[in-house]
Amino acid sequence: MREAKAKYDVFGVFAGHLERVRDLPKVLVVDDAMFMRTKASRLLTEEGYSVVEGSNGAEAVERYKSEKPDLVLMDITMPVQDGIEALKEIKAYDSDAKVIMVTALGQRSMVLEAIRAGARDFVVKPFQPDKLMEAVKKQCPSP
Amino acid sequence: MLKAGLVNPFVESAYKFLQSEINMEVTRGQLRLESSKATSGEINVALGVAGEAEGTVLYSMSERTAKAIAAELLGEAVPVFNELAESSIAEMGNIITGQAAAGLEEHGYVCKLTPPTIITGKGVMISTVDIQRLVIPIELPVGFIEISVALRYYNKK
Repeated sequence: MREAKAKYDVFGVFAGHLERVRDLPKVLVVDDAMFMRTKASRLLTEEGYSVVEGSNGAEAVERYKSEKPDLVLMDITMPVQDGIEALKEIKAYDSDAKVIMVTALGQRSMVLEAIRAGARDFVVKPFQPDKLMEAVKKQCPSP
Repeated sequence: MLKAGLVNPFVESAYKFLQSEINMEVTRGQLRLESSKATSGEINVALGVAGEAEGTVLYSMSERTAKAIAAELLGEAVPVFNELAESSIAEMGNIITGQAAAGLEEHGYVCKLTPPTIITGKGVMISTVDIQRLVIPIELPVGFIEISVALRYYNKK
């Protein structure tokens, strides 16, 4: 009986954890560089967001549809499908999608194209944590 | 012939990145021209450049230096040069070269970059064939990075 209750408690704690994660605002981080995804994901998790990741534009579109994130952080230059094409597909699927482009310097023309395609904002790489969080919180306040 | 003024974007970009991202004192060594195949480091990041400037940019360092830089970028110890450490060093090359490319564009040379490639191993021989490399040695408290800029310039303006 005691063992059964312990199992129930463990399950209860796990279920409670899942419930809390489910309630957190969800951000889809898309970058082909594992380092950039890890850096952004750690920062967002520390600030109370749940994070899902994608490593190219095609994965971003697929994960947007399956995960329904509250916000997307999207790199521009990626293999398979670039960030601008992925942004256009996501906006066609959900016109209210909130997408922030994460871009290297020297991509001004691409940033303008992204803004015309419906991106809400852009952050320059290498991003400063406070600059990234300022842009994220503007679109999607933390809990 | 490599124009010295066109090297400055690489130096400035490297300084900016290293000082802001890894928070270490950075000192530039003496520039030199090389045409040998040898690279100085066990960890090399190569990026291709195409457009009005074309060629290769190489970042070469020891594994010890690469691990120390990766540790700063990741904010955690890097005892083994693993996939995440590799990605961080590749991204360093990507960002420095990307910012330098933006600087080259201001001089009228518009170019695009290929994704970074990591080449590891002692005594690695990388040839830029008939393009001489301008080597920019960067000294850090954790070792050296050598940036080799092997570019040809085609200015249409």
